[in-house]
Amino acid sequence: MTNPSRLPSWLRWWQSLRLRLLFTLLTVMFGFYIWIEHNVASVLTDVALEHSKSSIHLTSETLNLAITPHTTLTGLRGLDDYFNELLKYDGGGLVYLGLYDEHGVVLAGAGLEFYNTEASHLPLSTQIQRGVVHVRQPILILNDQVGELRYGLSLLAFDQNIKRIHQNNLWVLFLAVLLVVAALLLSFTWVNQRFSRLMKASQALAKGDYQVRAPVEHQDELSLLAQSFNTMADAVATRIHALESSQAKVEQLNAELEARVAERTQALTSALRTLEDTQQHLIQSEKLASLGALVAGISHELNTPVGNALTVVTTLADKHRTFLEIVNAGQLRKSDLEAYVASVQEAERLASRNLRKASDLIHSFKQVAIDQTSYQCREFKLLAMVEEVLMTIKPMMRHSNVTIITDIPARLSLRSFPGPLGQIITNMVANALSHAFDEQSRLAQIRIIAALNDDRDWVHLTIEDNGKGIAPEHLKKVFDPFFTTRLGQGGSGLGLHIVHNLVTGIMGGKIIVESQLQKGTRFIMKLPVNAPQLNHQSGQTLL
Amino acid sequence: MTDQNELISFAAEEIRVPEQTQAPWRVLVVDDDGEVHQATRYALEGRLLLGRSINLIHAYSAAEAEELLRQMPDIAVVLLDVVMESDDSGLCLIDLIRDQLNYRCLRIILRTGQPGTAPESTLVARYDIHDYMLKTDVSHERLVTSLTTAVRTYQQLANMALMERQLASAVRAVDRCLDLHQPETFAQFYCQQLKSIYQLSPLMAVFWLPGAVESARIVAADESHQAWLGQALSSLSAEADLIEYVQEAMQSGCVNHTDCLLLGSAQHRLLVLLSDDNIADHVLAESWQVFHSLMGVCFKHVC
Repeated sequence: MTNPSRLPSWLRWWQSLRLRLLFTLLTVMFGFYIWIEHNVASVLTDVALEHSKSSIHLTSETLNLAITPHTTLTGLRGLDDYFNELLKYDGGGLVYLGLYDEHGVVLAGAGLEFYNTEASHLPLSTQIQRGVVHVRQPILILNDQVGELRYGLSLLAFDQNIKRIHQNNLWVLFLAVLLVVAALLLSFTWVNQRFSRLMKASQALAKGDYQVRAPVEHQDELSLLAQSFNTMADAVATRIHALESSQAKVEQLNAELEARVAERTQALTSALRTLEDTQQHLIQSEKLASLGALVAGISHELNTPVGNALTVVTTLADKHRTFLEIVNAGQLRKSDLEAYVASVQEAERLASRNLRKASDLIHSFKQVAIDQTSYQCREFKLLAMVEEVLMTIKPMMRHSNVTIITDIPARLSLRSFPGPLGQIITNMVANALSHAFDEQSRLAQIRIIAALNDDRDWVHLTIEDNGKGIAPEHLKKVFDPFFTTRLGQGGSGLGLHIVHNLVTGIMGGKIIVESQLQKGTRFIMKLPVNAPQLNHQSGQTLL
Repeated sequence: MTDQNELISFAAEEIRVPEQTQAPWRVLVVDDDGEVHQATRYALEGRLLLGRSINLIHAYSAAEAEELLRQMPDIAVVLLDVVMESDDSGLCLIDLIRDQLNYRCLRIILRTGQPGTAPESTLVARYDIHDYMLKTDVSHERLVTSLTTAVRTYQQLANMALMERQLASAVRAVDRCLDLHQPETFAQFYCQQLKSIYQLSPLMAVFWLPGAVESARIVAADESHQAWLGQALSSLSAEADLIEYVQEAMQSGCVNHTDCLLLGSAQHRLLVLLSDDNIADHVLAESWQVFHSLMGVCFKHVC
């Protein structure tokens, strides 16, 4: 709490309005005083000049008249006494008096020690200032000689008067200054009180008391200020009220908004969780679907050799029946027997070839199915495993003119997860088949290349095609879930996402993709030869 | 009981002359798997269907099959795989056969290894196919049975289509006969129709009035007998056998001959000699009856 009547610290004392006012007033008063003094001085000088002139004239007349009768030889002697008498008589103001002949010899005189030749040649005003006027008056003395009367007139009395006037003036000035200072202090105190009331009001207003009003006293500028302050306070109160109410509204809105945001956030969070769950489900079902596609493909592949074998065997049965009829009828000819034997031989050849094919298919399917349904870590030869997987995806391949070339060292073996690796290869080949090539593609190739690094602890597995390539804007997104350029055309957008998950997850490896338009795409995987141990919590089984 | 160690004595070998004269059935096998072709060939080797042997034609893709079908419109049956170049290339080929090539008689037997992709009832409703079998169900008996019914149906459909064409031609021929007024022009037109509709090869046509065999004259002749055209039969003294044969046929009314045709009214007779031995080999009874009687009516109208 600051006292309104005291100056705040930032206000320097010389900056105070009161001091400035005081100073200004005093300056003006001193100015006036100096100006009056100057005027008075010049008027007094003029008066002194006139006074001395008239005094000189009067004194000269008087002296002339008084001296003339004494201008005889005898008379001159008596003059000294007369002069002394004159000097003693104070009223005339004479300082000295002397009578000189035409050669400047003193005939009579009194008080001549005060005579100053130099001063008598100075101008009159200067002599007045020095307080003594030196006068040289020609005078007719005996024998019509022209003498000279010299005398000094003292202006001491006049000077004293002048000094008194100046003294009085100084007194007046002193009183005026006192009065002015007193009046100013008084009025300042009074104004100050009113100001401090205004300041108090404004500080109260500033502190938030919008009901405070400045007291309107008297009918002057301060009351006008108080009135305008009150008007301002009214306006401020109105504004503040409006502000407060709108602020309250805003706060209410904010609160509602926050509530709504919280609500939405919760809804979004749960939606996100559902989405994540769904995504996991989808990935899972995509894995199952690829297994389903595998089963469908395998069953189609199996149906053909099994059907062929059936046709051949049933035909053989028919031929055998005919043959038996001939034999039983005793009509067997050598040519019949030869034909029958040839027929049996061919049936055996055809049927066993088809059944071998079916058996191979079942074998590879069994291994792939076991691997893919249980994430089992085992030691396996990469080349054999890739070939088994490629056999299971033959149904996908047979409708395209794409050839798959493998370049894998036969002895390269891994201790890893053949199931997920098989799924990785299946998904990548399927991806290349459905995206990389079109009808016009010539010499379409998918190459699967594997090589160990120098330390023999990592295998670099590259799957590349010479197809259309991936557009740069798509390249970044190929591993994103649900990213597909074939939405609604059978693309789920999960194939490569699953690949990425499997490679970086269970296989403990890395995968990058590089692609050049019209040149092809290359997926490079870096897989550890010994896969990281799967902990049992996350060890999952697909079926 | 026969002795276990007895040697089999073979029956005597006969020289078997192929009796069959009819063209073999053309059966197109379409499948992208070579083993299927081999098994099918093995199953149908030496097999007769309705007395006719089988000529297997092999196609390894729908495109190849299309090419072969265009070349051979007389293929009777197609044994068709569904999944080849694409998942439905077999079904597309059916549409091509029925709609573009417009082969209506040809029979299609679908053989598929993937029952899931093509449900049987839907397929049979949607496509004009004769039979549908799963590859795993194709036993020898099933295959032969299906093929037999297929070729029989093909034969019937083909006959019906042929008859339809012949009848239509016959009706058109009658239309045009109404403008003919000379025995010569009619005979020539008649021979032409026999050739174009029934693929018969008339040698010549002889016109006479009944009861006046000596009036017989040749009114139409094929290219090698153009010299005789317009001549009286009796003037061909160098061809005694021919004259005798014709006179015999004229008198008997052609009933005992399978290589001549007789049209006749009360006043006029027209005998057409054919180069072929047996008319029955070339004509279908129903349409031939109709054509023959129509021509008889026309002949009466002409003369």
